[in-house]
Amino acid sequence: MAIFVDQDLAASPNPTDLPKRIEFTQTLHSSLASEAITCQYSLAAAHNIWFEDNDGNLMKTVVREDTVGSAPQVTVDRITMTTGPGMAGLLTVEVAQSLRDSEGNVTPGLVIVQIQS
Amino acid sequence: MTKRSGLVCLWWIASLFLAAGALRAQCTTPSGDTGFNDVIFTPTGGTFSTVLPFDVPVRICAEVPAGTTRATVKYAATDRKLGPIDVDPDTCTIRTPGIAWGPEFARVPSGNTVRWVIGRLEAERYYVFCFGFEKKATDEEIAAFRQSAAKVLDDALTQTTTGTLNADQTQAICQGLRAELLAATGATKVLTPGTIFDCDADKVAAFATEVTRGPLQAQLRAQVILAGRPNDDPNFAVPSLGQRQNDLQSILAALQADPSIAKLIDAIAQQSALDAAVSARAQSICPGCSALLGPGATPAARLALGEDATSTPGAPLTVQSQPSQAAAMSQVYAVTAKNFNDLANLIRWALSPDAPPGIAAALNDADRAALSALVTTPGPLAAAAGKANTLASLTQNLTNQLTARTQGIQALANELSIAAASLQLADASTLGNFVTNQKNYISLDAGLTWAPELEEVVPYMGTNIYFRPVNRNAPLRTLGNFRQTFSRRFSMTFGLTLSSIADETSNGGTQNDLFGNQSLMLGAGLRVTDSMRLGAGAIVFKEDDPSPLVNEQKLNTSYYLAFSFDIDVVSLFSKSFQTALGVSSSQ
Repeated sequence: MAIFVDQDLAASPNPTDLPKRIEFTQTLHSSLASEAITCQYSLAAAHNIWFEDNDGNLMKTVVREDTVGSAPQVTVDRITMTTGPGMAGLLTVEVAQSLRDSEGNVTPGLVIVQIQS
Repeated sequence: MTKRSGLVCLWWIASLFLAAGALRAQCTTPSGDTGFNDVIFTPTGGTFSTVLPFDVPVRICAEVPAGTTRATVKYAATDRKLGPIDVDPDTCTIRTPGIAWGPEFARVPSGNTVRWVIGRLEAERYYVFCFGFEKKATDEEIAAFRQSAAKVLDDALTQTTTGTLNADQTQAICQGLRAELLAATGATKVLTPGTIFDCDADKVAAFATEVTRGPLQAQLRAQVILAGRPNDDPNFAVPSLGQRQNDLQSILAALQADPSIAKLIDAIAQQSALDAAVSARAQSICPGCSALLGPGATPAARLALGEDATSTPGAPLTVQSQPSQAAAMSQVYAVTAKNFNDLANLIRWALSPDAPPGIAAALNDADRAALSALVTTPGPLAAAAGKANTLASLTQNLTNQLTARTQGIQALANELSIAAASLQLADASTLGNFVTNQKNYISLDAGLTWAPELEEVVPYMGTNIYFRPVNRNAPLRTLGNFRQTFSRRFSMTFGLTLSSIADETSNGGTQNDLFGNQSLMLGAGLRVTDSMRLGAGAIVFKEDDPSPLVNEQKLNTSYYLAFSFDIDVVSLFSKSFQTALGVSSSQ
């Protein structure tokens, strides 16, 4: 019914060089005993940093699903980040997150990943 | 006090004054040879004690303000044709195009004076000097600065709206923050170097770690909660806080205007008045319903803003709001969400067989159907509770982000410190007045000249005119090689022989001196050492016309070679030598 963020989204390693499999973690709980949530990670379209799936496809958005309960729970999503077409030379990149609960309420989050050249 | 004790007291006070005078060192021109050309800078007047010497090492002495821990001087120069340099007196920023400061000379003062050795100055230049006197800021100044620094960072950081930045953009943010900090502290203060606000390119990664991923990240999280975020997929679009509040307000207003709910609340109130058990039961199921519905309910608009009946209306939330405001809103939203759930339970109780007969009788079938629709799962009340809970979650998260941002900014401000520095400008030049210029350009020497054609060796005195200022106190060997010092060595010579070059006319001689017993020497000379010169040129004298029939004299010349000493050096020699050269001591 509603998702509560107990611990903000974090990325590890951070700073990082690319390509790298980044672990996104945060602690959540729900106002329900058990609630299915959908989590979208997205990157701005203009720059050259992308997500990459297991088949090597470059994407600007990744969607993951999870279930959270009423007790605080650490969720972990591992996503490979790499470089591709687009504006290069970033020092920091903002990874935006949208958490959608079972009733369609969207809770925002973000983490800034520092890129080492 | 006795007369004797009064005398002792006077003596004691006088001693104190004397001691204070002895302790207070002053800049004075040294009497002996220090190896430097000393000039004194007077900060109050922004003047030097003399025209600046050139070609010799210059040492500047200045009295410094009390408490000065570091004193600096730097200078810039222009050619005399360009005139004085335009400098901002508050910041020592040079406004004249193409002119830049030279290296800075820094010294720790000794007592209340400081001396800098600044090397050699060029002749015929305008100079501008920037003196900096730094002292440690007082505890009060530092405390005030940290307070203002936190405010400056708070305001300036709001200008940044993204965490996706390249190195140049990150450095620009750093420089922007630094400029704001300096503006807040005033032009006479400098930030203590060594912090991330040096904004050096090699420190930009540290700035990103400490600021971009610190308070800026917290601010961006707060901004997205407040302003929302569009998304190509509408399922993941983030509504703004205002949109969410409007949605909640609509739901609340609809509930407060719902006739079936109004009928239920009236029925419960009537039955509660008649039966204390009904009142207790209704109160236990929904203790907050009176705030949500009925005549004593908080208006929907206020509840939607996260304000209860007792709250003072707050200003709209921004990233600079107090975290406590968002925390208070979060509590109200959480209570509202609970009230929605409790209302659903109250409706279920009223529709159940356990409901008191009076309440059941007050509701018709249409009311029952409408109320049943409200409490279905998922249904409108559950959705309303979800929205209120989401607002409670978001405002709680907002509280955390605003707190993290404030703490991050305060930590940055605590890292910063300041040093008070006063800047002082002084214009000066190596251009003297007319007399000085004459001294610069002209020298006197004395020596012997040999005219081979005339078979004469005679003493002479000459005036040497250089084509540039020459400081005779500057040893030639310290100024470079022969080629580099040629202009300081070469001069035109005008001289007079000091004894006659005439041959005995009674013995058939034909040459006579130009003036009485002296002839004119025109030529050029070259200093081979600081005091010794070799010269050559022509001696101008009079000669009888070769024709025995013509009784006239004509001007004639003959070349000469000369060897001379600088007149100052000559004066060091014995009086007998001067007498031999025919030079009086007064010359």
